[in-house]
Amino acid sequence: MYAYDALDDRLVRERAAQFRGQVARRISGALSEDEFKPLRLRNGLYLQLHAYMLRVAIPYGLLNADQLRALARIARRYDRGYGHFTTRQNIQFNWIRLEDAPDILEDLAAAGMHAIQTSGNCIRNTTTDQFAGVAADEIEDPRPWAEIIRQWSTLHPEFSFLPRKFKVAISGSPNDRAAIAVHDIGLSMARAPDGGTGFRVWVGGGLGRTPMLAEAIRDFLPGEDLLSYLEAILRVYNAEGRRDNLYKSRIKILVSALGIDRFRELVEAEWALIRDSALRLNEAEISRIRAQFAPPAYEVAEARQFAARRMEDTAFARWSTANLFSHKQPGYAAVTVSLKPAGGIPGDITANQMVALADLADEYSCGEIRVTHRQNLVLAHVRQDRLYDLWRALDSLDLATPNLMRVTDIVACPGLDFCGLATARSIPVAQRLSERLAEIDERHDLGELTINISGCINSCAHHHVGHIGILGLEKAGAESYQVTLGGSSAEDASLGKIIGRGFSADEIVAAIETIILTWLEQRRDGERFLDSLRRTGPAPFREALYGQD
Amino acid sequence: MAQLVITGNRLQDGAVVWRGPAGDWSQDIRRAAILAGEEALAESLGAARLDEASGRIIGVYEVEIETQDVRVRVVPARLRERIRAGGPTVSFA
Repeated sequence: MYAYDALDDRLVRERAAQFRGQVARRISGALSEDEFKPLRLRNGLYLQLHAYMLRVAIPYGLLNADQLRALARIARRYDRGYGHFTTRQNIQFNWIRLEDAPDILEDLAAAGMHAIQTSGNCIRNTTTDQFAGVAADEIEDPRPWAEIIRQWSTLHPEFSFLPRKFKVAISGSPNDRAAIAVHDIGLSMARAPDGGTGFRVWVGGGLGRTPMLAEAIRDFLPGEDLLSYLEAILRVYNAEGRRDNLYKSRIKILVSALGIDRFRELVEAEWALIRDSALRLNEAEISRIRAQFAPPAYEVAEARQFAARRMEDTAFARWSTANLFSHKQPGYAAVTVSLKPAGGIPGDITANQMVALADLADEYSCGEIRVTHRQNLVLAHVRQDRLYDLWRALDSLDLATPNLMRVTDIVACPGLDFCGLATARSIPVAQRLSERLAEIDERHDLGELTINISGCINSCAHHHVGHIGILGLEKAGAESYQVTLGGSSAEDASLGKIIGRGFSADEIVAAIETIILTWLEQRRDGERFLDSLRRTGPAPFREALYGQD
Repeated sequence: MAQLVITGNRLQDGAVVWRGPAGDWSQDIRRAAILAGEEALAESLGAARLDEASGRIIGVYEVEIETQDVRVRVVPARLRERIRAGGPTVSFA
């Protein structure tokens, strides 16, 4: 994986030192809150309901074991012994003291980490497929390109004051595990007729108040032109995007207002001016970055022992069916470590679990851990003949819930329990749902069925693209939960549609259960919830929920 | 007029604090001064804003409370403020 060079190291250390001075001036009163707030946000430090929250960047979700140990030390020393992984593949600490923040940034810098671009109207952490580099179905490993984007976008002076935040995602595979359709820019690796690789480029996707799916702006972009083309898109957005209305300032609104054809014309015109500039990537530089993502030295591993263990132990068999992803290296598997135990808080992990998992990553997976945009972790390089031992270790840590992409693998934002923007709680709903639905899944084998719960319209939990989406609102002083059905963030991306009036906190679990039981009556053999819904439409569900009213 | 208390967050650690009768700030909402009447609110809010200007407290504003049992316990009317006063409703990891 990519290791910081001297420039990266200097940048993050200087940044930490700069923030130390800013915090000291704030505490002394030399800076007002109005002056200080933009500075702290540029270092990922938010003020939430109960304390400061620090969001730490994990570029494209990739960590080494020592970095995870560093996060565990921060959780213990400066927080309350845990952290929360987010849908942007980052981690948040919920109980930070302002005066500790400079020390934390220094500790992060020492581990090759930072909190830059985790807030503010800049280009945020580029996300990608958690199985990048190991997926058999990918055209090319997207991580070197994500790293190239990171280097280009970090503190980019022209794009530090965009109309609004800006998010990029890359998928290396036609099977989209990076949700590219709901990003400001989505990049899908593609192959040119001559065999070279590049990207299909999408623009104008996003969720929040006005959810939209991205539109294709370019069918094929050669890899060498990636940065100039991104810069052209950003320049058009920076110049033409709205700054008069917060709710209309994302690029999706601009693309929608201009139409994709006019937007494309503007981008192409800008691109013509800069395509042949220093932004063109040369093969030597691409190769230099690619070399840092070379596969580990795989060993010859055989699968017989794995198959035998599956026969012997049904709990292991169940976990390995649910949480393993096939690896392009024979004899290996990629393991998803679920952070979604029944009744747990989605994405939360204790410092003890972090340390233990770092040790397991060293022992079983080349010292590497990945964060998924569904708030789980991945050990991407595990020998199949060692899976049983790993599973037992994970199980002892309560990290082996067999539920990847199943109904209890719920994505939830911190909601009103922590977040200053939230209008309703999401975590307690996720907890009650996972407890209830674990039993139904066990009885009926529900297969792939995603539930996403956001505590406000900002949609941090991507509820619009959950097969079942739940949006918590405040209505007449009480929590009210609006349900959407039919969302997907995969290659068949779709936005869920509101099924009807909202449900109270007391009603929402029963309402979701009704939806699932209604689906089971409609389900054909092996059908996913989403496929049944697309076949039947929402009518059976509406009738089950609301009857004739 | 509804009964109100004044709240904000403490600069150094972001903790939720409530303004007491003597202008002190406490993490315990039961120690908050209960304000009734626009004059009392304006006076207390004005003093709180001075604390904000001095940098001790961030984001000062008034919160409506439910009127029963204020001598025993002080309960904000909105859930958001009840969670601020009592902490998260979930036991985290």
